[in-house]
Amino acid sequence: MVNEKSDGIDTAEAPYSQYLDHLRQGKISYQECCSCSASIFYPRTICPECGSTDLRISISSGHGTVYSSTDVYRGDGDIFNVVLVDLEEGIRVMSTLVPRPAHDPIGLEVQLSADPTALRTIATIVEQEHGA
Amino acid sequence: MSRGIAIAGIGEAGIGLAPAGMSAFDLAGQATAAALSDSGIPKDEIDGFFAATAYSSTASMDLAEYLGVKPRFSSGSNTGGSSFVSHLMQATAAIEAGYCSTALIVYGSTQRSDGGKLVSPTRQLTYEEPYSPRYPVSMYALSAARHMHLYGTSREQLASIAVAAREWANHNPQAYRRGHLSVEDVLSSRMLSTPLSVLDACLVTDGAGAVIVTRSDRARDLRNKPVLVAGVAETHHHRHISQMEDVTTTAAAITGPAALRQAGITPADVDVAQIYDAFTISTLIFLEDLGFCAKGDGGAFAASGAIGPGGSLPVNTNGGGLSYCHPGMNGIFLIIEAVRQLRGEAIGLQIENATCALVHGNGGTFSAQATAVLTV
Repeated sequence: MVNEKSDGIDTAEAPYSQYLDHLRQGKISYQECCSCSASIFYPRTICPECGSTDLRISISSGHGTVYSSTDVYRGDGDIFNVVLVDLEEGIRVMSTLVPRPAHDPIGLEVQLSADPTALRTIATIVEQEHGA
Repeated sequence: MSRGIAIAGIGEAGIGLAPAGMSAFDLAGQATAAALSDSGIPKDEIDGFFAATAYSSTASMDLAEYLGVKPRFSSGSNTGGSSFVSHLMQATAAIEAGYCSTALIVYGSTQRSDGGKLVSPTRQLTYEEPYSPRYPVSMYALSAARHMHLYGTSREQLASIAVAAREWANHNPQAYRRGHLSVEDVLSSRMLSTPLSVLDACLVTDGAGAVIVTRSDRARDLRNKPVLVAGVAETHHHRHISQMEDVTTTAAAITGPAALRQAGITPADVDVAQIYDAFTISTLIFLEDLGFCAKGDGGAFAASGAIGPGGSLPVNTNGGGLSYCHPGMNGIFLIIEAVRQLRGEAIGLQIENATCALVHGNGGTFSAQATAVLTV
């Protein structure tokens, strides 16, 4: 298939552009390798596992577990969180926990959502039912 | 393998704060002159050249021109702070292959004079940048946080690594940062990225280092006792922390055993270790990965006093990146201190009868790993 071109620029198949386009639509995308079934993030033009170029884009549920977490202290006094999250599809992504966790959040369930404006994801701790 | 290659000369310049107006290349020139003088090798014998710097993307060409070196073999490969241990491997291979006979590895930086900012052409990964982690401390903090979560490692244990480094530095008149340091001082210092505070982080200094490598039969006739390259290995498995398979285990778990195997020794045979300490967590993780203690035991091992003066495994005997110097990249100073210890010429505390040193370089965010075993 030939992609439409405007101003001579065609980024329709560029992995990063596709990722951003999905974020703008409120979706968190990643790739799956059609050859070896590897889940791939960040998106690329070649499978880092098997070398195949037969990759398809999939949309993540955003559901995952906190792998690690740090609160970043900026020189200007601003403090915010940065996390690594293992998503259930088998990829690890960086995100930010909002609000900042009061305790060590590693191992907690989180839900990521796309922020179509900031072009990033926001992570929220999934509250567990008490007394279960 | 590699028993035929030796380090024949070492030199340093501008450690701490360089004289006003001196550039990184000026310092590298002074370090090179010191290394040539130390070895007794004339400059025109240098036909292999290795350099990396954050100041230039063509470091080897630019610096070789400054120094007046016209190499037959040249590499400006840059794997961050581990570059110079990696260069030691490349120099060893190039000399053994006959592409050159005597190699100069050189580095210089005026990071302190430049205002203390990390001079780095590194761009953060597009997929990490929107979260604004502080590069590189937040990446090491993510490793430390998970290590604490999995193994119960404490901030006090991490702080004990900075305290041990300072205790070494307090015996070294050339160390940039000296004076009493307590665990409490580290814990109460300014937070950068939890759990790492500013005293968990390496210094920001000026400094330059140079190392001359040649065949051991050539080195035998020179001014100083040759230090043999008994083993050397490198790898990198990722660049960005979000791509690191297990943030508590680095590829040092591969390069350490590989270098030790080449040398025919085990961790127990190492008399002194120079381990890249960009942050306290770096030393802790590498102690585990290099086989000096079990995975998860690094905090208790370090806090036991094992790595400080009088301990069972002297680590970073000049004070390390935490207290001696850290001019942007530290790898070359690890090699230089190991050579000093093996020659019996330490400026600070000398380890008695040290015959085997391990040098471990780290680059990026626990990314590039390079280990060398040096013997006399």
